[in-house]
Parts: sequence; structure tokens; C-alpha cells
Amino acid sequence: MTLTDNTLEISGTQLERAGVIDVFERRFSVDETVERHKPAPEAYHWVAKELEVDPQDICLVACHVWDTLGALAAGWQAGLILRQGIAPFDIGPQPNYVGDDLDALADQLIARFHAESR
Amino acid sequence: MPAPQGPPGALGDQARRPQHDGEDQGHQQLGGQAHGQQPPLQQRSRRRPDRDPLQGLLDQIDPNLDQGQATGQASQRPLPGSAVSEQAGPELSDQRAGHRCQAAHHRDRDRRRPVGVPGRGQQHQPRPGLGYGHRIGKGVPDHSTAPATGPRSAGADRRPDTTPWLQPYAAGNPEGSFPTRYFPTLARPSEPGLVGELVAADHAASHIEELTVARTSNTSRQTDPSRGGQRSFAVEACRYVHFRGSRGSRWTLAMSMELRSSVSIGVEAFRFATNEGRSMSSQPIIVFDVNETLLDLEAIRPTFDRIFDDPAAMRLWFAGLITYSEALTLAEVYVPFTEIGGAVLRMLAATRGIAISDADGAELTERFASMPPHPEVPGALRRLRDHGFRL
Repeated sequence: MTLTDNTLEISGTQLERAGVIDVFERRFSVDETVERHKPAPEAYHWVAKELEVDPQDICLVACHVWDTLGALAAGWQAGLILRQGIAPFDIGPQPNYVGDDLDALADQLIARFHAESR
Repeated sequence: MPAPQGPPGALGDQARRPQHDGEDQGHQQLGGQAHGQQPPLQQRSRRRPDRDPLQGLLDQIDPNLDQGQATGQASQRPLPGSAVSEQAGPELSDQRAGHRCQAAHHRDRDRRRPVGVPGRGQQHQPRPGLGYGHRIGKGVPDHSTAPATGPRSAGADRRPDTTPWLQPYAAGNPEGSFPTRYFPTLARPSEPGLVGELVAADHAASHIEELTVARTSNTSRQTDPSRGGQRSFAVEACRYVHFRGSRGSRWTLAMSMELRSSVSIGVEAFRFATNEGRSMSSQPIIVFDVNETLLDLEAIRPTFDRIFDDPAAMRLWFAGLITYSEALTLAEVYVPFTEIGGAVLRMLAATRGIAISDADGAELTERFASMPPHPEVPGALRRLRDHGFRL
């Protein structure tokens, strides 16, 4: 799943060209329905509703704190990737997972959840 | 809402004062005993008795805890500094258990959020930035916009069980570790077998000097001398609560904080129930942001370097893009993201006397649509998928 402020068309082009579009079940764009850009709560609530899961059963992975803030405030879990130039923002809801790249976050998520999933 | 009887500035005073945004509150006098108040825990006991499975546990805590143990003596005591790591809390546990963390405020019966009001004579004084600690108990996402004394929205009461506020370190640091790299002064490594801890820090540090913790647990660690009782954690400041709980164990942690400045951030009660409600232990569905999270934003840099001849321009533009997408959203005006990006580009150029051509805009759009993934992304995504995560 992806959730982006971009239109579905652009995010589709992006992910296709990046060669990773196949791993995602579904792409969400605020452009589709809610027409409110992240971190508006409606964007996250809408995704949870579409996925038919409780908010806490969704984890946003993002590298922008304004995004993790929005997700956490909407009841999601969140992981923050500290891309170049990104640092933690030490007020407000804090991300559940923090790592320097997606590998680091994946390690944390796998360590935490994989044993139970077997 | 009946107001507790108590002297102005005492903790129980809060209930009859308007509540504002947390940044504007969270200050009050804690020094001294609050005479004549109803024990706040009893107040809470009257609240929602039929809806609160932890109430019995809360009621086991010495009601004095609500006074935070924040007496004058406490405020004069020097800081032991590393006391946190030496203290044991509630029974430890399988950190993967589904923690449900809730924050409840004692005196704010229906509002699970931190409360604090100015103490006597402090109502109109400028307040120091207290940092984060006074919001520890925040459990309601719409906290900051909640009407001061009006009824809470139904949503607010529905949501405490899903508050993420206190979950990060329970959920995200299964080894009990703290992200010391980000908060190096806060490092409080967990002892093996430590059953719970307060990890404390504040960027407005050295204000808070006492925390009082009480717990009840039906699986208390035998060696913990504070079992069933209460104890003080002397810390410099408090920002986070970190704990681990076991499946089936229940414990309660209440906390008070006093500021050296004799301005208090009030008392927070945190209620934790592991294995309550829905479990957090199942794999979450992972939803990814795209730009910069997965794709390398640096790919658009050449366009900015060419147009602006300023290495800062690209980040300025992206920051402006976010700012104006948020501004438009707040103003309830929807404009597609790409159009905002174009407008911000033109705005940024105009401030520098640069004209943006259609070709410039097209180039940016093309580059934006062609950003490569960060190198680890394809492999990490597939690894997550192969481990059963829904992506």
C-alpha cells in the first residue's frame, strides 16, 4: 500500500519506473476521494476505512515527520526513515520505529512481528 | 461537573477551570498538600465505572499519589540523576503483548488528556516552555482543539484505546532499549528483568525532579521492593514512559511531576493494560509514503540547480510545496499536488526575479515522475513482503 499526496497517475508512473510497483497491493492518493492533503486526518481515516482494519493495525512508513504525526494522531503506527537531512522531531506523537533506511525499519518490523506470524 | 473542593492552585482545582490547549496549560502549583480534596482516584472511580476495566486497579493505588508526592521536601531534594534505571516498575513481560496504553487525567473526568492550570497568581503570567512532559498523558488526538469546558466529542471517548501516544517505546523497542542516539542524555538502559521503567527526559530539562510511580500487578516481580506500593523516581525531567508488560498482567502506573520552578505540570495517570482489547501483536499493514521515503528526491535537484543556481533551492521548493499543500488543506481548498508544486516553483522564482517557462515546469514534472528508488528500497520491500507483511 502506498498513500501519497500525488495523483494516482503520477504515483503509478513513479513506482513503475522505480520498478517496485509490483510489491504493492494498492495505491491510495488523497486525490481520489478525500481531497485533503496529508497530514489531514481524513486521509488516514479514509485509508483505514478502505482497508477495513483498525487504525492501529496500519503502520505508515514515511520519512517526513509531518506525515508520521498525522498517522499517529489518526491511531496508526508509524515508522520514520531518517533520510538525508531528516531528523526526529521530539515533540508530539513519536514514531514506533525509527531507522536510517528502509532496511533498518524492515529489520525492526520483521524482528517484532515475524515470529508471531509463523 | 462537580468541582472538587480544594485551595486555588491545588491539583483538584483544575476541574473547574477552563481547559485549554496543552501548551497553554500544564502549569499549576503543586507544592504543598492539597487539603480537603476528594482523592482524585475516587473521583475517577465514579467516572464511567461500568466502562473501565482498569478502575479496580487504579483504585488500589494510594490516592495520595494523586498529590504527586510532590511536596516541598521533594522539590528540595537533589536529583539522583540515574535513578530511573535503578527502579523497577511493573512486571515485565512479553513486550510483544498487545499493550493498550491509555492516559487518563484524574481530575478531568471525561477527558483523557493532561490537564494543568495555572496556580495561584500564575494564571496570567508567561509560561515557560515545558517541553513534552506535560503532554505525556495525552490520549486524545483532538486534544489541542478540544473545547475548554464543553462536552467532549463522542469520538474523543471512543478513541483512547487506540491512542498511539504512549505506545512507541512499548511497541517499538522490544528489547527495552531507548533510542539513545536521539536522546543521548536520556539513556536509561533497561536492566535485565526490569519490569517497567520510566524513561525521562525533557528538552527543557532539569525542571522536573520527581516522579512518583505506583503500580499494582497481579504478576509482580518478587524482588521488587515497591511491589504493590509506590515509589518515587527522581529524574531530571520526564518525557516518555517506557514499559513492558506481560500478557495477562496488569499494572498501573501513575506519575506526577513537579517542576523546580514550583510550577507544576500536574499529575498524570497512565493506565496500562496488557492483553486488553485488541492486540497489537499482529502484523500491521504497511502503508508507504512515496516521495523521498521510497524514491530519491535528489533526482529533481538538477532542475533546481539549473534554474536557481542555488543548492538550497530544491529543499526550499519542497518545503514550500508541503507548506502550501497544508495551507490549502487547512483552508479547505483542494488543489492537486502537482499544481501546488508548479505554483510554488513560480512563487520561489518570482522572489528571485526568475521567470519559469513551461519547459521548466515540464522538466520538473518529468523528473519528479522519474525519481529512482533509494538503493535499499526494492530489496527491503520484498523482504517485508516475503515475511508476510501486507504492503
